[in-house]
Amino acid sequence: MKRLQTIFVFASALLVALQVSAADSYTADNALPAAPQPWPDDVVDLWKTIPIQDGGRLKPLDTFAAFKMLKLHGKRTMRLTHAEATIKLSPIEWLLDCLFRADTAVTYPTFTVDNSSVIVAIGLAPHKKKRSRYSYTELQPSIERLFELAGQYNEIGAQQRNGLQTMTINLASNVNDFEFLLHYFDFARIPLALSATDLTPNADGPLMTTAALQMLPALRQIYLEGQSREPGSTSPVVESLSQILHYADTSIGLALLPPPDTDLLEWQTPGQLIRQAFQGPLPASEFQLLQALADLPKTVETPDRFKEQLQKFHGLVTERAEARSEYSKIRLEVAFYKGKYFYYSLCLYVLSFLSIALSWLSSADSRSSRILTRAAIVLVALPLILHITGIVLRCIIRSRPPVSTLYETILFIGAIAVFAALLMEYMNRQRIALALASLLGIGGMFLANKYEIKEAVDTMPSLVAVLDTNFWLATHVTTVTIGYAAGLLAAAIAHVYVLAKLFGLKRQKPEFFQSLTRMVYGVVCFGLLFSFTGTVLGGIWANDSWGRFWGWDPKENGALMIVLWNLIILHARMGGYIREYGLHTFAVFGGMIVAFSWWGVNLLGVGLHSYGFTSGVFQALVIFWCIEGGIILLGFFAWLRSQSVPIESE
Amino acid sequence: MPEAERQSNPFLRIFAFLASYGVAAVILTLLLILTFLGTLEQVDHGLFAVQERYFNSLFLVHIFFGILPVPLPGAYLLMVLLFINLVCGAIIRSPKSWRRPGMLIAHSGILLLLLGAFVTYRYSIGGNMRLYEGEASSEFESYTGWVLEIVMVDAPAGADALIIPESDFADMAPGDTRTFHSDRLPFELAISGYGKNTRVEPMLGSHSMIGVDGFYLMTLPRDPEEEQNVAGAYVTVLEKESGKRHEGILWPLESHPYTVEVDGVDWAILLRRPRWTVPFTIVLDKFTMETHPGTNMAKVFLSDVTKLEGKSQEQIKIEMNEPLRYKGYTFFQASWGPQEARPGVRLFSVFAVVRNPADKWPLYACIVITGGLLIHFSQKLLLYLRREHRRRPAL
Repeated sequence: MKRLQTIFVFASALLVALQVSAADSYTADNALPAAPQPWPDDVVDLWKTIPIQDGGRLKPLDTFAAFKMLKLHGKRTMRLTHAEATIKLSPIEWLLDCLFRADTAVTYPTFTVDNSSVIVAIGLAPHKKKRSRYSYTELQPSIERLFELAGQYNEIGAQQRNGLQTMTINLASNVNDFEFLLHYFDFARIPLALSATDLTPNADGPLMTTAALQMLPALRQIYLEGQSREPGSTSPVVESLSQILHYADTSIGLALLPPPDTDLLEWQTPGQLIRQAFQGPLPASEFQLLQALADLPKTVETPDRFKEQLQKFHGLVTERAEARSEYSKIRLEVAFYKGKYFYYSLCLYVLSFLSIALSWLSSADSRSSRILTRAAIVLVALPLILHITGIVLRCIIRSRPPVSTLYETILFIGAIAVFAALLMEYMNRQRIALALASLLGIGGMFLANKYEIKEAVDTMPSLVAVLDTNFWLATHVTTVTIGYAAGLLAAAIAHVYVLAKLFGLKRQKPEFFQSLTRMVYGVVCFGLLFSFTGTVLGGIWANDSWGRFWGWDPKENGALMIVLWNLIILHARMGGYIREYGLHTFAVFGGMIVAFSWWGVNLLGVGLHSYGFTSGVFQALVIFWCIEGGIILLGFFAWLRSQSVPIESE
Repeated sequence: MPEAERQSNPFLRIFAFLASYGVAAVILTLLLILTFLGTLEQVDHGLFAVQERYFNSLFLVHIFFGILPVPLPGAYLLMVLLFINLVCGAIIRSPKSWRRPGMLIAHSGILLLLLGAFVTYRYSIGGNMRLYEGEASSEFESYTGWVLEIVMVDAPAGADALIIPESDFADMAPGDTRTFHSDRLPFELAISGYGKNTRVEPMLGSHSMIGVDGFYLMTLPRDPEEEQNVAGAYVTVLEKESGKRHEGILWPLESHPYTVEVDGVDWAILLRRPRWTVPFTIVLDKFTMETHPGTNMAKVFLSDVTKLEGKSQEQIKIEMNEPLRYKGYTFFQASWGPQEARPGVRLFSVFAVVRNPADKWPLYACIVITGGLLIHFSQKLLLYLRREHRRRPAL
């Protein structure tokens, strides 16, 4: 009964921890003044699959919205409260509100502020909670001050900035991004100072930017005539021209317009087309595309017309994107994110661990235990399949091998560790590797999720020129990351040994410990093979791209340290300098070295592997090292204790 | 040989020690510590200085926590010791059986890798060649180090210049003076005030007691990035015939070298990077740099070059990860400029050029070692699986 309680307490704690991480730890003190109007599902789906060029690649607007929301809001769902009701906004719905219902969007608690001192610094009254979310309306009175401070802090080198300065710069950048969304359709929404009658006697009503772009020669003529009569005078035509030029600078947030010429790689924003119109008349096809986009805000209050207009724009853009062979993976990427493969695999890994934990309650030979173990195998295999499916889909979308970014190392290392643990379970069937498989799966998915939220940038970025080689990404990078996975797996198994010895578990079963030792030894050998081959392949790649095999770059050194440590373990064991305890505590230390190589060297801020620089993980890393250092000490303590036990009683 | 005899023979005892797992473990541990310390030290001291101090050295003293000096063997020494340990332990002493060849193969591969490291360290040369579109060159220049060149200004192209290698003056302290003379020169050359990182400044308002024509050499702190350091020195030319003295400043970033007229002949004296000549000529026809659309991130660097050798010429593309390998030299696409160039501006391309006799050795070593490890570990795994199969319970 006590064991059952322990397991439930542990499982509950695990679930609570996962929920806390996934749930919102921020609060917004303000409820919305007006309820947001929902967008029809079919409209939302159409918007999701509109392609946008961002960060050097074509992606669905859905992906763009998700990462933009993650950057500004810290989450991919926005919870709003109005009249006691809670409304959830998806990223694309939030983006549509920003673009078409700016008046409502400015009241959303869009901006995550980790520390209210930023709010105080710009002269506003903070919310009650230190961490909170603020709306644009709340920040508006001090936005000028915010940009002024951010400008000052930008002069300080990134390494020298303190937390407040970094947060101020980030908030200013987020507000800037948000403003670009709010004002994206200004060119299509705000009439010019001139009316249509001023240019064409038969026309009436306001004059919009797109119409004016077709009449630029006439506008120029009126402007010149006015200036010759009264030089330097202001008039509606001067105002209109400066308005149009202003939109050329503000309508640049989304590159939604594919260029007509397939040789031109850069997609256009309305702002760029406006500028282009000043250099010469826009080609009819370009104008048609711009007009189709500009007609959208006009129809937003009439859902049917809006949908019709959207379909027209969607059709024009996708047709051209398909003709440029740039649309083939847009729908797949939308489906990939909709599938939430990594989220579901995390849930199933948790369930599998619970099933294994329950199976421990009865003896291994009992029927219930066997059923639970089989259930656990299925429950580990299923999320692993989802996990691998997610990785494969990413490979197809990117046309890349599985690992080319730091984020992808987490996914890949997680999958390899789980797969290797399952393989070990198949070999020795002790239910240890099975439990570790689900724990490593949980850890990997949890870390991937945390990292994605923390970085809040597209996890499928364009690659710099040196990384643009699928051969070396497929060989060196995958091999060396398999080496990382092995180091972590060996450390995980060693934890079981150290803790079991410490708490006196399985005292009557020496074969349990022998089995663990064999596993760790096997994984260390496996790790040596991959980390060594991966490291040398990295050197050969460096020799092909930089002209030197080895340059003592921090990332290279990190990989070398893993190889050296594996060699030390094997040679010390062969020489009889370490036995069971030594092997396991050394393996735990190996995990610490892997963490240094994987994450630690990126914090040094030096070296050639600049694709992996990250910040803010130092604290997490120190905590990890402290815990692992503690485990090593405990292992040493358990060893000392075992030495004091008379031999005959062992 | 009986154990007692082995114990009493001092040579065998030394051999047993050198071949032991203990020595291997200690060397590997020291290498690990050194790699770790050398990685951390790069933050403050830069790669070049750390490489010289920790990895290319026999001994060093590391200051732990800024207060505790601890002597350590350098990586160079450790790799020599590891080589000896491997030869003794893994090759000579290890049992050689055709049935278990994995470890012997893997260790032989490591020996090849270490030998490759030694050959690269001792015999490879590396530098860069910078070419504007349309330019041709057969020379490449070192990234670091300086030589002193003395050449007649009107000397015909290809005439030998007198070169004083860095080793002859790099050890000079700022207060030292060293005199050089040669039968080929009508003067003696005295070098003083040599600084590793310097800048020429006007004397006005400075406290410097030494100067030439109102300028002096300001000594700057050493930059952690060695390529950024610009050496400098004062030079005194003492005419052999007349005993006349001429003074000047040698500073590599001056637009023109220091020149002096002796007996009606103009001589140029300059500090410059060491240079090497390749037995062919490279012409940069066109440089292409593409960014990912809408970003400043480089997607492709590509140089279209022509390789000229005698009467033959060949068009070649050199790009990232696709170097040109020819006659023992390798040309890599390293960088380009000017960085802020507008369309139409003439671009230059920078190639890293390396001559390394052991260029491909790591690849061969990698194949040998991976093969050896695969054989060994596969045999171990099969053994383990057989044992587990006999032992394991039904699921």
